[in-house]
Amino acid sequence: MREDAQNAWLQELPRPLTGLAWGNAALFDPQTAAALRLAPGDEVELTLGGRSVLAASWPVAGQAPGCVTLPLGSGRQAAGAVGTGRGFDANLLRPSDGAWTAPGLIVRRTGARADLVATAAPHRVDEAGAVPRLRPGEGFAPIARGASLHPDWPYEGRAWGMAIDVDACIGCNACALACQAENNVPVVGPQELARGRGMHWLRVDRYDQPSAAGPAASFQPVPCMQCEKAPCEPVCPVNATVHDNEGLNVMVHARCVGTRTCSNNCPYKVRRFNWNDHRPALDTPRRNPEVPLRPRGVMEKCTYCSHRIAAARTQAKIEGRALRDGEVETACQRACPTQAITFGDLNAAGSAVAAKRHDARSYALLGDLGTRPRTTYLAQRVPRDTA
Amino acid sequence: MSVSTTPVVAAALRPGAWGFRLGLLLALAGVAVLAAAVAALLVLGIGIWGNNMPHVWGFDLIAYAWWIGIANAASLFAAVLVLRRHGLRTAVNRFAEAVALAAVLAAALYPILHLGRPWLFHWTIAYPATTGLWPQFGSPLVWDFWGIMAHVIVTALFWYVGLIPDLATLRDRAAMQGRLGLARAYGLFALGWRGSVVHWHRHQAAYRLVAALVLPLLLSAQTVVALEFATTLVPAWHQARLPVHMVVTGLPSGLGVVLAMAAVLRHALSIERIIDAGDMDVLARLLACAALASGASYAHEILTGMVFEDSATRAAFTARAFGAGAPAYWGAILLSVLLPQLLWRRALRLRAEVVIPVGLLAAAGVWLDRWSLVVGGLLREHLPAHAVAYVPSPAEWALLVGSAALFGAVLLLFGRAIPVVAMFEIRHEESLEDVAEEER
Repeated sequence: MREDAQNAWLQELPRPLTGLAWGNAALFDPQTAAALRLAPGDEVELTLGGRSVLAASWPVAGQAPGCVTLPLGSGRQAAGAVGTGRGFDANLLRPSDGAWTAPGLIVRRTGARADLVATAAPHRVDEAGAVPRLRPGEGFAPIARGASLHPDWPYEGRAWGMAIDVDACIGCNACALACQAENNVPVVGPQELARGRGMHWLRVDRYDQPSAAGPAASFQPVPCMQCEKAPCEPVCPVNATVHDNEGLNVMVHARCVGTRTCSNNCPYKVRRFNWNDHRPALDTPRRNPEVPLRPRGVMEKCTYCSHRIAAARTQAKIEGRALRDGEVETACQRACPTQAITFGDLNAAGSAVAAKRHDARSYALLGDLGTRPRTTYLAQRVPRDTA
Repeated sequence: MSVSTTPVVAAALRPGAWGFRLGLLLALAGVAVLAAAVAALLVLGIGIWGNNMPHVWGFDLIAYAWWIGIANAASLFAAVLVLRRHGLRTAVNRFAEAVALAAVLAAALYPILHLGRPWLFHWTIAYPATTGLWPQFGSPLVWDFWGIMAHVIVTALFWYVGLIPDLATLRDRAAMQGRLGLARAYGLFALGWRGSVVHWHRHQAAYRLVAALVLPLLLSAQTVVALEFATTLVPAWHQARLPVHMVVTGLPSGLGVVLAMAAVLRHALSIERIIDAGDMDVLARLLACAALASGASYAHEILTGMVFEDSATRAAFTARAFGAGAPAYWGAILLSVLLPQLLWRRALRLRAEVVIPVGLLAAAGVWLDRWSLVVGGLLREHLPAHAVAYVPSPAEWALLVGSAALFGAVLLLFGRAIPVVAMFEIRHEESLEDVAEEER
């Protein structure tokens, strides 16, 4: 819809399968692309029934060989400053009878490179074991704590944690969008995004999985892991990122001087730096008043929606009761259509998140680094017919 | 036999020659570029650089590590000469110290300028702040603050203490020429030096004490820079051998710059008899030696990186040395290890037109090594991130060129205002020779 084309949040949100933002591309099967000697992002001229259009090409696993998919909705002429001229208009090739498919497409490589904004490589293999897959009946050993020279933090009250079910995740990116809206996360625009300066606090990693039944992908939402032994904390010279008494790894924006060392030491690469001042664009009545805007030159990251935790804590105190399990919902959790995200108090007996933490599918991303992440994952099950 | 120190004094007190003026003009133009780059940085923020995620560091840390390396090797060299009472020290001591000081000044720019909010840099300093908060003493960046501060203070002290008797000489000569204002200026910094035996005694003790202080500090300064990388979880950086590697591979840069400077100075100031062929010979062989040591460190790195490390580190090292990072990695080895080996040939090392480019290219090779570490080290991380390549922006180039110009300008002004070689050391050498002749 035109209104959506004018929505900068949606324009900047990476498409789940391609990782492209701010525009579309003609999608090729990797073998077909290789046969046509098309590198990802090469510009092609597509001709169908005498009409032609220039488009970027992009390989996608799972695309049928010898067949090109042209996403509709881009290449608009009049969609405001945000939506005009992003990508190409596939309607220009669409037959007049409105058919969804048409034979006889002619593809010609122009030799130019297209202006494409990619946030992920076209082909991602899970070499790090980020999304292990379990056969029926298999399970992991309980997550080991790992040795540490630093003394453990005591948690007499609550200890927040999150469990994300990779098996339930469909990669729709609703969590990333909800997080952006909730936390006043800036839109940086196509140029900055192409330079690797996107600000999304939560990203969804896609991994191409080998499968007998054809191409398959795993999706893994990656927010801040709120590590118990957070590598970002001891390297900050000014104590701008510290542990709080409920286990959160808190970013103190006012204290940050912007050395960016914390990001270097974050193995999950979930920290985002304000290379520019985004406050003027964000400071509108649409912003969430509960979350402060961050100035230029400071680091920011996922907070586990700590303002929602604070609000729930206050409400419970007013009503003179304890926090109920599930009372605090993070924005990403609330938005997830498949309920893949569970959040709550790991210390509370019988809480949903504690139960998931003790599930046989529970594992920690890069757990062998000893970071003891508070965000853990539930592994994908391999369906019986593809195992 | 006696060597006159007159040309040395003349160089300091003579009105500027055209070559000097042209050089200073160029250097000051570069300093103006630096000022513009710094102003743009402060007003617009580091968004004007090419950094991104995950390349949060780029030219800033490369240049920092590189200038520290130059300063280190230059003052390490000077300190060793003082402590060993080596004959070479008469010739190259003073300007090796000046090179070190100018390089430290250039290096000290970066830890402040590379911050997202540079005006708050003092928060890394341990002082009783009204916030009641102390710096995080576990952070290598806090160690780095102490490292660079200690480096600036000790290098400046080393250079200044060595300068006192010569400042007194300049004061006296200026007074003899009737230039009283200048004589007062030199006299102020000469701290009332009268050349008494007690003065000399204390001076020697102080000078050697500061020189002894330099040695551990030099190791620590470069080590702390290396620790900023080695203490992280980044596979290519997280190595216990990194501090030693950075100290050793940094040596050719400082020695290369000192060698090139020596070759330029002896011709420009007509002091070929003071920095003589023997001095140049020893200095060139030292550079070749340092390059060999650096080569050994690379060999060790390749061996451990390919054989002994875990798979994540191996993959990261492979990407850095044999993948996309190969040009910088092997460029560094070519320029800072292999090229200086030419200097083992005596005929080559005595020619200024060989020695100057070899010395400067060795320094450039060390810069490539730092690039390979800072940028190439992030080619492979724990998760297969979609890393957008780091491309330095014009603002970063301006900062690099500007800091080099600042380095040059400081050295040129040193060369004009103060003796480039230590006059008192030359006289001391002569008196030893006189004593030897008398004994004969």
